[in-house]
Amino acid sequence: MRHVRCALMGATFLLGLAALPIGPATTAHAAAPIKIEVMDWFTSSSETAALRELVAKVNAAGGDWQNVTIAGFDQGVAAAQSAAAGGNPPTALQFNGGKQFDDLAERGLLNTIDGVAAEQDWTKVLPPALGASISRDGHYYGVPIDDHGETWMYTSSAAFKKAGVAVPTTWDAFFPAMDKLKAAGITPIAWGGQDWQEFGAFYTVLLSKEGPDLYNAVFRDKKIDAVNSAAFKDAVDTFGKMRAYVDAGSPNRNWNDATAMLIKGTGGVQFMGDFAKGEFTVAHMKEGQDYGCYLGLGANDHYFMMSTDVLIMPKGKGADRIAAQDLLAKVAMSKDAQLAFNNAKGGVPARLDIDSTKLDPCARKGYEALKVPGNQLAGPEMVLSADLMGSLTDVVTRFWSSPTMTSDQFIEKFAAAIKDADD
Amino acid sequence: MSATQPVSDVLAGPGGTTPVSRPRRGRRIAWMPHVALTPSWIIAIVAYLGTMAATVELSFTRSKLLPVFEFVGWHQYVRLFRSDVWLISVGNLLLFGVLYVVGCLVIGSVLAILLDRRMRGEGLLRTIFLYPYALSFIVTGIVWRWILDPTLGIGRSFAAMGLPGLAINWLGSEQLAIYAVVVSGIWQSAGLVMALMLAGLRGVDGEIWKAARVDGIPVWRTYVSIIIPQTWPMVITSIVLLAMSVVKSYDLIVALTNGGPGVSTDVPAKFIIDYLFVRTNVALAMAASTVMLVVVVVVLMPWIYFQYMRKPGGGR
Repeated sequence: MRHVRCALMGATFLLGLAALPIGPATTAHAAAPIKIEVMDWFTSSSETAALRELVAKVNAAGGDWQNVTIAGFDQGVAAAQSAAAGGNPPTALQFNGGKQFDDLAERGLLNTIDGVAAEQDWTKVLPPALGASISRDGHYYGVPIDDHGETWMYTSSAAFKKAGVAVPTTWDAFFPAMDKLKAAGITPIAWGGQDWQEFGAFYTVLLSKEGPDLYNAVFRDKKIDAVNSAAFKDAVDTFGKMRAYVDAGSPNRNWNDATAMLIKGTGGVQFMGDFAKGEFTVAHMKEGQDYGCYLGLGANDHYFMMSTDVLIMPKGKGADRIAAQDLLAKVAMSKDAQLAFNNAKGGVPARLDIDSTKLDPCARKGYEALKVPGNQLAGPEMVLSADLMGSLTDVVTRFWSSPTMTSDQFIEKFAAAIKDADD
Repeated sequence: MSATQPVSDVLAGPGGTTPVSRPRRGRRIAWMPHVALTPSWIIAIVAYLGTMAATVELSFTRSKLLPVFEFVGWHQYVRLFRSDVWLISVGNLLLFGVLYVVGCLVIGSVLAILLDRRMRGEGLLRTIFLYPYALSFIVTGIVWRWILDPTLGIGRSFAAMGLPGLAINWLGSEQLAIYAVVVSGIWQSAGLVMALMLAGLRGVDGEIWKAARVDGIPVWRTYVSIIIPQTWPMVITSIVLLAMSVVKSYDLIVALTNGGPGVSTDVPAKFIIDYLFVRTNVALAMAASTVMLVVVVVVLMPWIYFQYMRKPGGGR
């Protein structure tokens, strides 16, 4: 996921191509284990912990997992693209669900996973929007290993206690509460001033304040009318108003440094994807007691905006390639593996038929919301091309950093970016 | 300049004067340099010119994640020049380039002149001033990000001293962030110019100084009118080295501001990398690369012409 990108920002153009042997190879099986080579960009501590769970499950089922880790999201995508296009790729490559691997699927470079999907009844167990993000023309091309909520609001109990104000549950109460935090010497919004974080905060506000219909109309259906609507402008205004509640150190701040502000009690709220939860867990903080997690704010606090990491299966040489890919798909989508992987990584299982009592309180809250079909929303990464998403991100981050830019200018540029998009 | 003479001999090529001036060695010998240079030629033609041609070709296609050869004419160029992010990147490159090169030259020369006065502890100071150049731009960027961070660096120190007014949030301002990039770049590279200029100054004939002293010319005037003009090759060398780091400026930006706040410190190299990989629009990235290539060639043309094409009618 994208947080890897910032975790490794300093080393962005160092392509750390390290083959990490994760976990001991299993010796339990008498038959020769099937070699499974996987290229991924899981490098943070929670990510590698999650990966180790998956590796153990795959190896126990008769696989021999060989890991190729690329440091950094950008380099990960680049390496996976080159590997898929360049002849003899690994057994599986990590991508994000959505349009990222369209080109590869269109040009016949990927094997389908239809066999395993039929056997495990994916159409039934996956949220439809997530299923759509991994399939093309009725064929499955990706194995979803997790499901991340994009629009969480985290709160620091210590900060709110110090300011003597309750955590706001409506948008009307939001800014007055932020004022109280500010008066108490707390940075009201712990802000990570990097473009993708600002983009995330924007669509969180859009969804949470204006509702899913507008979000879908703008992001999924790319309707210019919706961008020009009064409700969209209200979201832009609200987003712009937040500029007064961040600190001078926010530009280029990593998301986990912003989370640390909540942990220390120097920051009040943070808008972030659910991977931020791992930071609280590592700091031994308890949900409900030390910090709060909310799926947005106000009347729309039950929508789950999804993003997912997937494994895609490129075509290549080798007799047992298909067998290896099937084994990997089967195990990665099993209930056991989904639960173990996501408990470590911070997301929720991609399949909806798992007992939620085995999840932590925040994940359970998200997972229960996700089970209601009307709450499932495809995240921007699932519905936008990387190109258009980049252009929209540019608009959002420029608006955020130029206080002189008006909401109308924002809307004009936003609409222009959608019109100019090549897809 | 005598120093450029051997270079132009080499570039004149083996097929030029060698066989004529040494007829006794026979014709076959003339092939030897060709044979020896063949691998270099193959690399130059295939790796450099070939990829350049591919870059230009791809810029006219609709390639997204993978190269495809479906041509769409000037579409990518139209989009490129309608993109204000690209125009901002180009503007930043020019601003950064001019300030960085001029700043390094001025500060580097002044440091060199001060050291040239044989001040005490010269060896130590020389090392200190040259030291930043041993760091990569990534390290420079991170160090300056911390120094300029209002909650960690000098801003915090000023605030602690009761002078919060002096704490300017360079990295948080769209207008000032590019100057923070310039300052950190100069900090890194001025030492290199100092070392080159110092070598140049030390190469100046001591008799000139004696003559200037006899004539009663002030020291500063001697430097400006007599000494510095004699170190012209060093100035040119410095400019070429600095200009190269301007064109490839990417690492410093990524480490210091990552193009922000907003897109205020974006540069073409970062724009290209973004579209090439993260935004998976190979064709647009190639169009941007082609524009950069054309610009570099246009800028270099006069220089190449004067250096190599003009028939030598004398030294300089």
